[in-house]
Amino acid sequence: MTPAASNPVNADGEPIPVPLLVQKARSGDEAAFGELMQAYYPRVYGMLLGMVRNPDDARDLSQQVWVKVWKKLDTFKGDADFYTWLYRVAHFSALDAIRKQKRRREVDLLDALEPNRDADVAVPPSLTSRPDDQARATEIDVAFQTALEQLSPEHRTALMLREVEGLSYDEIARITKSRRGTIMSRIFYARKSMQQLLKEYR
Amino acid sequence: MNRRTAERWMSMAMDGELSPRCQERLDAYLKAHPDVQQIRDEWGHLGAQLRQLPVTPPQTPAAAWQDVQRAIRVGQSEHTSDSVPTRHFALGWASATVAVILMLAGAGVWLVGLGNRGMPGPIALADRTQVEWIETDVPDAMSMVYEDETTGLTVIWVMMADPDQENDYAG
Repeated sequence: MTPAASNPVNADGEPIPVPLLVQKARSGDEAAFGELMQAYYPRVYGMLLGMVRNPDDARDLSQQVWVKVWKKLDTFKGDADFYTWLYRVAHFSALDAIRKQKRRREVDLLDALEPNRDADVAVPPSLTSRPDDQARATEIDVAFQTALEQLSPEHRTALMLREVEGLSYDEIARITKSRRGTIMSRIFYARKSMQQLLKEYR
Repeated sequence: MNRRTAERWMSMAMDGELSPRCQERLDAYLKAHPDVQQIRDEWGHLGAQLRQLPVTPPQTPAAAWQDVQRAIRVGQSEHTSDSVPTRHFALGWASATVAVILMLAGAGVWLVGLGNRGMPGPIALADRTQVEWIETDVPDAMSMVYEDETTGLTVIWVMMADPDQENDYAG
């Protein structure tokens, strides 16, 4: 568990009393909820961005998640850490959004999807033709982003929560409502897949 | 230990999820297999790249909070306005029930009123028509006599028993 996840800080860098703020927010204290939201906002946004891979979608989704958290706060029983519950709401909201987006894409013309995918995968010729280090770095960055996008949302989330948030298998299992063994497997396969997809850039 | 198991354990070890005993076995395997150790280095590099991904939110937390506050208030006002149709619906049902009761009461009053005014109607006929049951010589028949209000004629009805029905009963 990262200290930031369990002990977030306010704008002045001081730790915020999460249980107290949660208790106040549950009784309708909007200011307390605002303090909680602002403390966790960057991390929740980062997690959502890791899942949906689009800053605009992550921003919209982030707002929806916080509104949902406000509405559902009375269902938080307090038997788990607040951030576990919060990440779970965010995780399942993102999965819903990804599924809806996928359905919308399926409804769209299939041939419209292919050029987009090609555009994402293909490295611009200008980059491949430039020998300088910056172009190479950009090329690797594009390849890395593309490889990450090719993981399933479940594999990507498990990997991101582990590598970026530093959460344990048990914590990720609680957030995603999965078994510990499933999380272990997802992280392993995510690493393997990324390694395979990026092998030509080693 | 085979390579697949070693890779799985390596992944767990990187995450601090491998038991000390398994860690020892893994370390021994990795000493003998430097190519697998190289994979661990690649995975480590992958993790570092993930942590370096730009995740700067497009808004400051304070600005995001203002948006969320607005969204919460819009949601609350929508929720409030949502309850208006529900109230209208309930009022509609109450009104409909009262209307039906009034209609039934009105119909009853109308029928009674018709009877009192001597108009032809079920209650009026029942009150005013004098029906008389009389004996008849026809076997198994009943007869009734009444005076028709409209025509002024005396009507005699003779009702014969149904032979088939009789047979059924006799069955």
